[in-house]
Amino acid sequence: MRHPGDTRSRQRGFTLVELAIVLLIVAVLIGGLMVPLSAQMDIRNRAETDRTLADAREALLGYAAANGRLPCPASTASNGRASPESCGAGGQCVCTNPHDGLLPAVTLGLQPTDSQGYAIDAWNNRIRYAVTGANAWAFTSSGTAGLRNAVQAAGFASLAPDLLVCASSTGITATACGGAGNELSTTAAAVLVSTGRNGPASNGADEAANLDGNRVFVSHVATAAGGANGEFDDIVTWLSPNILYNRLITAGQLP
Amino acid sequence: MSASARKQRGAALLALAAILAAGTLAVLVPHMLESPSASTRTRATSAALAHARDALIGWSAARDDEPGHNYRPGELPCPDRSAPGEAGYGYAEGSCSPGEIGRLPWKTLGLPELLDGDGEPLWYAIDGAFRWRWGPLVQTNPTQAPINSDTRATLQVYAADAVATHTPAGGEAAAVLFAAGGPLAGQARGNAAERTDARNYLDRIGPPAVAGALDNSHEGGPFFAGPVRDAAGNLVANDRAVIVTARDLMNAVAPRVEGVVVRVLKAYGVFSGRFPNPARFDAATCTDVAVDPSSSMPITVCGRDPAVCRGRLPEDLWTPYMPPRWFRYNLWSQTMYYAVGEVAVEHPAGCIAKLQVAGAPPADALILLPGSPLGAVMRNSPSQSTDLTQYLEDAQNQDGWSGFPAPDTYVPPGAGSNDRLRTL
Repeated sequence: MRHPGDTRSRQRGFTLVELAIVLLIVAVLIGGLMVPLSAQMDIRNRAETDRTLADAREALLGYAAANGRLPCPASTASNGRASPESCGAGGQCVCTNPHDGLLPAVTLGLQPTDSQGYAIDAWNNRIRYAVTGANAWAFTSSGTAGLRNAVQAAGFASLAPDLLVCASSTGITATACGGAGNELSTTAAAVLVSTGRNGPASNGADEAANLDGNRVFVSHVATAAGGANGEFDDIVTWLSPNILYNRLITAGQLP
Repeated sequence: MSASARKQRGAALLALAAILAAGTLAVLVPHMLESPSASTRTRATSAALAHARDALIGWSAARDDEPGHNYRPGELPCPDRSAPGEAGYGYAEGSCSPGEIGRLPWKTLGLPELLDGDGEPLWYAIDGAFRWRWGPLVQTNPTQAPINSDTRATLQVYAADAVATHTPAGGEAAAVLFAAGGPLAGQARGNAAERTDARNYLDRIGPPAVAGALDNSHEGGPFFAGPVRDAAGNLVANDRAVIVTARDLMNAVAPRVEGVVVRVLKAYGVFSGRFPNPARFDAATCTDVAVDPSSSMPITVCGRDPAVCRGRLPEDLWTPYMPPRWFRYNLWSQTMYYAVGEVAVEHPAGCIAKLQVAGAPPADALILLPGSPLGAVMRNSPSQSTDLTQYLEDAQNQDGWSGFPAPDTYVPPGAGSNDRLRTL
């Protein structure tokens, strides 16, 4: 015959102190894992944003092939639509926010967007988009003010898209990278910027250059806050005019 | 139940929660920490190569006259011989030899730095006939100097078995873009000298792994597109490649050429009231491809002939519209077929009143722009340069120079043709 006290003695198992120690160990382990996990999440978010920006670039090229021009950036009040979306007399589209606008996801039919129709990156921040206003806005215009007319009148050599992407903000001005060694591109037709994990707050001179509303941008690999020009985690890509010309020729929009 | 037992029940729940948390992490963490899969890297490589190819073709198609330079549609930038970190990295060299290999000049092309799935910059080999040449053309081989729809590419690219070809006759490569991938055995990429040596990036294959010996780091090739594995499944080469053919380039350039021709003819039509007679297709001046090295202009002028109504676009009707220099010194007018109907021609020469094109209204004049040579066609040899069948693919369009059987009846280019028809 079993003694009733046997069951209770078996149930005693771990004491609360033992369990507390186990939980503490598990917590330490989880804590240790969370740091690399966070870093990995960041890498995944950057990869996802890279893909989003690549999709956006393709959408811009598709829009150009269909319309013979690039869309203007959206303004903060245009609800995800290009600003302006329709061009004026002669087909000229003078963008309201050529260098400090947002990607017009509604105009381009892009996803994902926030509730107001603006394309967002993996951190749910709005993707910024700049377009060249060179050649009297020919890149964003159609008809007599558009690219086709510009090429037919003065040739491809007359086209001078003027967005600049520099390797650092050191030495840059509102119109130049401050030396050939700092130039990544001086002929970009459009620039796309994700403000990265730290969002649109400016965390240093390099990130500030991407938010200051001029046609000079900065792109380099992510750097921590201790760097010379502060933290930088923006993801910047740009549209080569040569790819734009290729697509426009293929689509019959040029020459 | 004792007071002690009641207390312990809550502890069991906590233990269960801890076990669940540990289990969940055990499932999630390896997934989160894994490096990009092979398919992800391959996708990144393919995207980078396609992006580069797009930009190269666009750069070439948009080349234009600029003061002091012989920039011309159809040419390609020289490769970049600098390594990452060096001052010239990203820019095309000022000159290059036929078949030269270097990195993709991404800054010259206006691109962001393109990296393959293994984080390596792309490499690039260029055909001699399509390479960018500064200043006056060097006429070491006059027949190769102009770049137009007669120009053939020569670079060969084989498949991973080193036998099948990606570049059949007529589809040779004007440029080859390589993704080098990670280093294989024997490839060192540490110091500056190693980083400028293509052999440390681009691979060689040969027997016994594959039947032929091919080397992607050898100027002029022949090249191959990997990856390549030996019979045991070991990776022996990890280069991936895409090609740009002469046809790719000329398809992009043709709309520009057509635009120039239409403008020339319309301007002349307005100026004289009629379209000009063509030049004779077999006139010596119209098959001479020599260009004056000092002026980069044709040495002889392929002029109008009042006795013909089917021939080539003449080179002496640049009034009132002067076409771009690139159009003239690359002898584009000699590459195309031009015919005018009796009602619109300056000097009647025996064509029917209006030219007939199947499925289209009768035309006053028409231009047929041949595409790049197909198969083994070599239009620069004298015996073939007067043979219209070497230029145009559709049989009904090939009798304009022979005058038989129905030279004034045409068809729009068919599915197997790379010609362009434009009526006026």
